[in-house]
Amino acid sequence: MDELVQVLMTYDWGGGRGALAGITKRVAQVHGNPDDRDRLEGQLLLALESGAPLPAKEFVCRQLAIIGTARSVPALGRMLAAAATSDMARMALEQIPGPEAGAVLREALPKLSGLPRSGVAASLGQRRDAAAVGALCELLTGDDDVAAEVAAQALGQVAGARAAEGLARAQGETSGRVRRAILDARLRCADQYAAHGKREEAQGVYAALREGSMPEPIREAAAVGLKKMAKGATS
Amino acid sequence: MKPTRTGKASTASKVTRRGFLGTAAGAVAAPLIIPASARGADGHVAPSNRITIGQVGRGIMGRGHLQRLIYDPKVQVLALCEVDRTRLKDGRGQVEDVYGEGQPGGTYKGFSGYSDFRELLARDDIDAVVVVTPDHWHTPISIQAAKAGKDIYCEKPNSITIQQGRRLVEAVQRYGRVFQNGSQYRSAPTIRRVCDFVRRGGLGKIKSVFTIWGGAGTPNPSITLDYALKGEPTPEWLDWDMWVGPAQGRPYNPAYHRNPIPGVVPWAFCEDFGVGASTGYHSHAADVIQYALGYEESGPVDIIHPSSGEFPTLTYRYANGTLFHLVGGWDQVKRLYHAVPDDARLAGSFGGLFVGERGWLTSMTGGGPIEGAPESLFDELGLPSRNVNLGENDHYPNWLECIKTREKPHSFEEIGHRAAALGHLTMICYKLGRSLKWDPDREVFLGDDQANRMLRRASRAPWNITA
Repeated sequence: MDELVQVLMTYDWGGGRGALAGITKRVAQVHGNPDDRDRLEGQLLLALESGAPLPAKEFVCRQLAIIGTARSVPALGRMLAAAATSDMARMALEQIPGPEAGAVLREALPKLSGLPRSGVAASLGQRRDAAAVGALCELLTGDDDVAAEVAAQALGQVAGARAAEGLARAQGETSGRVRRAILDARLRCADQYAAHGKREEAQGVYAALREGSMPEPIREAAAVGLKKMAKGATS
Repeated sequence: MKPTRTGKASTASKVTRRGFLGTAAGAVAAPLIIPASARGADGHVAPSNRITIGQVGRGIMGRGHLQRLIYDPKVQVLALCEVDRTRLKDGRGQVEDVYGEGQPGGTYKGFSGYSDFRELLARDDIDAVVVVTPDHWHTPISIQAAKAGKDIYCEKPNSITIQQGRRLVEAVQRYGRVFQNGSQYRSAPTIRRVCDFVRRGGLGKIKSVFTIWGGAGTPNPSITLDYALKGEPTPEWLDWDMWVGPAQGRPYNPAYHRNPIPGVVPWAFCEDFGVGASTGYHSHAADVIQYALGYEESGPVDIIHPSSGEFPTLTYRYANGTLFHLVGGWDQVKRLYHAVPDDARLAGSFGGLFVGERGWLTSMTGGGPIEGAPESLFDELGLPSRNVNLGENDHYPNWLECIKTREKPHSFEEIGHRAAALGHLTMICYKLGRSLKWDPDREVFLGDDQANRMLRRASRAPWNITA
């Protein structure tokens, strides 16, 4: 095992950062060199799957966010269920390109509860994972309000017709912060419709959000959207 | 050069809030007995016409913001949110002492304290919020404030990553809010006049600009790090989980949190909480300089690392060829770049030195009068005084006025984002140790996947930063 990685594996709260500096330098140096990148990724995975302290694993995840590939996804996926490691794993999984990271997040979502579930829902939104729309919609009306709020935010990021429909359906069954997040997500869907030239769909959502029963900021934002669309049509 | 935007934010929510306050003022916001001065007898603004404010955060900077706000007759501070109960108590005392003057028994009852900013944002009677938290909370709270229909004054830097900053711009614009970035140096009359002069071509084409970045040009540049300080027992008066918020979780250590006075805020050097030199001064300098260059809504196209050998210190190149050099100290301008005469004083911070075809000018604060040459430039500039008096800045009045007119303030969301983004670009360049090409329109690095993966960072559950 690489000497720096061996030292890294002892890094704990309050520990020296010498090995970390060496590894961050090496991460930068493997840019444009896939063989070196693969070797370094392999070394980092050894640390990740070892009994190293959490700060060491968190540091590894930060590096995998920059250089990680599909090869790292299984190990990161195994960290999603535990509250102590779920957030750090998502740091890398949100950044790793390719379908594997999205797949492992989608597979994990229905098996999780509590904060790890909310976190994974957020990551799917950040990745704009259209394949996750169905699972995210299910969270909207579940008994976990925190997860429902995050799922609404994620659906707003993914947007598209299926997300817009799911959000509209769930709106009437929700209240409080979840409903507000759904309304906000619907705005984002309308914005995306408008950005893609789907004027009729956008106008429909904006009009619904302009109704008098809507919270004032939502009505106002819908008016901004309509005004922006009208301006776009005349310019 | 991109023109500064002049579009208006939206107006609808003002009517609603005023109506609410008009009918329910005694219950939630205004003094129990309204003094004559507050009714407008002495030219003061009546409570129903004041802009109602909630402030989030009361550390070193927060104390100053609160002090400024409670003596402003155009505003009424209704609430403060602070996760540190000792600070919340101090802030309550600060407000109630001032607002209690002239009240029966010297007491004031219209102020509320919170430890969760979402409760403050849920109040319909608050028009606007001032965000004065550690950096990692700037974007999430500002976005939530925009979604709650509040106008926003946010301390700089707006964000801790470039993507966060873009999300903030999107949310502010989606909800039609008035946003002022806390970069008040551009609003000091002397600095503004210098910047306008440079922007209008008073120095001719700008060849180079200089400002300070601690450690620039040395082997140990000032960048933030993933500190993992040893855990200590969390004080009972602090909601540490909320303090950490969307950042990666870590045990409490007072070095993250407590501010030495006077001194720098320690959290600024931990990459989850702050942006190091950008937090301290570079975001101010970036704002002033990009304003003068006409790139305040854009950015450089190259970030050139000193290892390239092209320049001795990290340098930005803008599309028009202007070079913006970071230096570790002002002596490097003379010693490494020979850009000004040896007898140039060069001192201060929060601005920069412009070198153009027709001469050179400074725009720093805290280092004495504006310098430049040839002397004839000052005849053209027509400065009433070369001294920089930051106290004369109209940054807050400009924001408060824009809340009423719905115009864009001096340093609106896009400008604030671009100033912060320059610091983030610097940090990424230093961390990767190589030059980078940047597309300021699409906000992506060209040909560098690693750098692009540093544009954003995942949030700790359940926080999720979305526009």
